[in-house]
Amino acid sequence: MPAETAPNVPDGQPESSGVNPGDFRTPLPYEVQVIQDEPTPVTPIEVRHETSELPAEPEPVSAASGESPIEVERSAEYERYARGVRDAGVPPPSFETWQRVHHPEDAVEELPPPEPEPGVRIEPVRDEPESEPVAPEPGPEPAPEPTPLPETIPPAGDEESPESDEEPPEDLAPERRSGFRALPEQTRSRFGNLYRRLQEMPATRRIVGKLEIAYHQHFLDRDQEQSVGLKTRLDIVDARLEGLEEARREIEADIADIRVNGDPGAEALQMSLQKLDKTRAKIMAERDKAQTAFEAVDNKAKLRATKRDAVADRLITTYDQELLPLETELEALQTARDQMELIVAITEVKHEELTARAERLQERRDHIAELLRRSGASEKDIRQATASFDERVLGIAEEISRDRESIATRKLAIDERVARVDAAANPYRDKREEFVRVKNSRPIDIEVATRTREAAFEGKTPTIGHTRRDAEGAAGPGAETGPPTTESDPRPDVSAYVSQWNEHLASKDTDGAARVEVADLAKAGVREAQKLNPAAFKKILAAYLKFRKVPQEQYTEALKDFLPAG
Amino acid sequence: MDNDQSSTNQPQTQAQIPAQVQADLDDLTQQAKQLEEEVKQTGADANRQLDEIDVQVSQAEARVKAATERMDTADKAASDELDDIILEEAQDSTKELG
Repeated sequence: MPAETAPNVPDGQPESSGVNPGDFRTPLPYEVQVIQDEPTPVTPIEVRHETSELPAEPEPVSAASGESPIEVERSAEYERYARGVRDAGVPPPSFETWQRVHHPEDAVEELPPPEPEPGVRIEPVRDEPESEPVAPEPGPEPAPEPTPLPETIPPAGDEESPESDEEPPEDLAPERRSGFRALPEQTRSRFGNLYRRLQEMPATRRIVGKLEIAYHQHFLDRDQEQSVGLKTRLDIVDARLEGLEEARREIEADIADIRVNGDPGAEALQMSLQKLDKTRAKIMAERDKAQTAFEAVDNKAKLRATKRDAVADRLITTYDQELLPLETELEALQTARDQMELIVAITEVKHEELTARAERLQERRDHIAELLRRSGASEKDIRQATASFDERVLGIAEEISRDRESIATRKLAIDERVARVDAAANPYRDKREEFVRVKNSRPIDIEVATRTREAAFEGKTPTIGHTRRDAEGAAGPGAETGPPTTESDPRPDVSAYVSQWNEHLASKDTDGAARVEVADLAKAGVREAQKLNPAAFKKILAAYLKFRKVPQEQYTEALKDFLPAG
Repeated sequence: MDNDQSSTNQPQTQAQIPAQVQADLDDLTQQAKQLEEEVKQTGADANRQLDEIDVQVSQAEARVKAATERMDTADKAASDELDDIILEEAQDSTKELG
């Protein structure tokens, strides 16, 4: 160990010459063990009680490498630093940069900021308040700024505006236009481009676009770049401090060894310690400065993010408050639409029924006409005899046709209105999600799962065209030969169908929500005693269950094999 | 008008029509009359119910419109605030570039 603590003696120098006792700039012993293989005997030095500055002497030069010991020391220190920085995942700066930063005393020039990581731009830290108003520029525009705005606007459509006289955006409030005019030409042009792009968006989307601009990556990137740059500086300073601490510990250990062994040179090492402490104090001051700058940038970025968050949160809250009742309204509209479809289905069945009855009457009329013909009545007489009836039946057919047309028209109109309201509400439902997405898309580490609100009315069965082919045919020709006193309809009535349906459900173990009561259908306008053919009842039943919002899977299968045709 | 014509014509043929057939004819006409009433009633019922749906839709439309207007108002206020933030950013960019 004592050999290891020997001061460095340059190669090629006579051993007897030893170390100049007054040379306090002799390289530190802990460095020697790295550079030198051969231990050098220690020459006692004169102990001085004063630690005044000694005249600097030329550094001894290593004959082997041609480097002075201080250079060797710097190289070793740089290697240690570079290793530490690499371990931290940061590419180390070049030796020259490191030397300028860590040992400004070696270099004449002022300490520049460390080299940033590739792709990282270190912004100069400014002390002035961030929102200091910019004085309006009188007269002609100044010369363009020498440095282009880096990534100020999104990459897509990042083209420069050729015009030099950028007018404030149209949707910028008048009180804000002067602020826009006060910007330098290039900034105005770039921000003008952003606003122009907003104008190209649908009006309901613009607020989202504006939020995107306010949350724009550039602003956040800029903050982040500044923070990262300053953090890198802090890391470098910390690594340097760590190196100093390590050196300090080694020197202290060496001093202790020297003292234990009674070797000379402890005071020289103490002087080195003193120098090291001064360097440390200087680095600490530098660190404080970098830390202050880092905190300022960090706070600024956080303040900006907080402001945007406040706006976004307020929008999201407002939308949440408004969208809930809106969804209720849209659901009510859908219910109204389902109810309308039920009404239409019931009316269609009634119309089919009335038409069938009219056809049966017509058959009776034809039968009577035939009897009259047989009894010798002329065609004219027959027409005259049945004229009143014919006219009524014709009127009935026309009335039904008119009603069908009118109901179809009204149904279409209501459908369109419901669709219009739904479409008008859609952008707002979408926007709420977009606000959340814009807010969450910041590079700041915020993990919030994107909620996807289910769009209302999706997956609903579209209105179906109601076929009339299934309507039970009229009684065959000549079915009624005599005067029918009371028409006997062999078809089951609604209450019979309802019982059958409920039994059918029970047999399939699917009764529950799909069960139907006669009274419920009566409320919907279907009489309990009304006679219906199976197809008509199934049509009404399907519309009624849909109106009741019974999940389709609970009755579709049962409905399929209920009252099979034939 | 046609009704009137037919009733005018009817007496001329009445004598030639057997009583049973005439009774059938009268019953037929009566049933047609009843059917006519039912058709009218069915149409009236459907239209009345559709009127109710119309009212429901109108009310829902109005409420949805009011809600969207409130959201538009919130948008406008937020838009102005965002303009301020964007302008502030623009000024910052300018300052940082010197």
